[in-house]
Amino acid sequence: MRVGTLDSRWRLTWLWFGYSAVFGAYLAWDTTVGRHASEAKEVVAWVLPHLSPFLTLILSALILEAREGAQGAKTVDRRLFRLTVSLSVAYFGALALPFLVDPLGSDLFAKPAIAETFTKCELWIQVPQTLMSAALGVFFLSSKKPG
Amino acid sequence: MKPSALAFALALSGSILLSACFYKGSVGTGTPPSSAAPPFPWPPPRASATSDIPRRLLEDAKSLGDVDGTLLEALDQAGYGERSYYWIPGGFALATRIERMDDDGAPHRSDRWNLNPSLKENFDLIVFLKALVSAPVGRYRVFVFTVTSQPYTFDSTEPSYETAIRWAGGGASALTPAIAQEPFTKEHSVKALIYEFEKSAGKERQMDPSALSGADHIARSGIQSGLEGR
Repeated sequence: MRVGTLDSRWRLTWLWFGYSAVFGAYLAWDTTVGRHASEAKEVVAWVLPHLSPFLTLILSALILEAREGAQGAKTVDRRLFRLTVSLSVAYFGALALPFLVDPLGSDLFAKPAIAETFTKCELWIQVPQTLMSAALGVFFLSSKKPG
Repeated sequence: MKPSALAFALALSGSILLSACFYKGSVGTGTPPSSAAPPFPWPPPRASATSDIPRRLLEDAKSLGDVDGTLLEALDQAGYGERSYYWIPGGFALATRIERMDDDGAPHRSDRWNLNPSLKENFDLIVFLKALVSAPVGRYRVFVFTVTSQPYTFDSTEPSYETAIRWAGGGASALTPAIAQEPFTKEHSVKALIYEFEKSAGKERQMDPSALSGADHIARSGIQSGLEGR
């Protein structure tokens, strides 16, 4: 079973930019008046490198596909598309995890220690990031014209 | 020695001996007797709120020991099991252990005595969701009851959170007999000083003034009903 490449790339773009918009709005609040207002620099310095390269890649691939779209509709394996979406969602969860575990520290009223949590998360976030990157790469390269 | 000089010397030593017989310790003076409880900072540090305990609730009290008994009964009923006694000019002070309270002044249900509560140990979804978008605020307070015959003003300094924590364990475990036997007169007043602290993002500060009145603190802590329900 195959799905249209342009359509699936649009969906992936919506998923990534939708998540980024919601997560970005949360971070904007969190680092200005919220819990991590005193750690804005650390938060932005950790989140941006984990999001922006993938957003750029997805947007570039969409633009390329849209330009080629007029020359012939390509398709991609539906399972590969679903896998890419699933791994993207898992990666979104991994990105949000440091913020979710931060209030669960040893003292609810202590100074937030998100920078320490980032350091710990860095050890294992490579796993979902590598899997998601691989799925994205295969998804972008595996489209082909029908027939 | 002339007879008049001898008579004068006798009269002087007699008056000294007589005054020593009527000496009742240092209650009412500026320095504590050596056998008394440790002194409380005096004048007391500025409180977040204060409340006078009405005399009608202490009408049976004949001595400072009776007042202490009434206060202890009310504190026991309200769950304040740990207390400390201090000497103050003209009477005594009684400090309770620092406790966490809700915004309305009621003792915190699950983490009343926990100074470092953790959501990991006591999970609350509402608190967790709030903590995602803002630094949680913990409210803590210490009651210091002063029973004294001397009017007083407050010192301009604010006590630190650490100082207030130590008040509950830094004094004597019971009222000394000398102070307990002192008569409770019309000049005596019983006042509750409430020292409230806000703890958030690793910083503590005294609430000055408290968002609640002293009477609200006394009522919602359960001390009021303890005093009235005797």
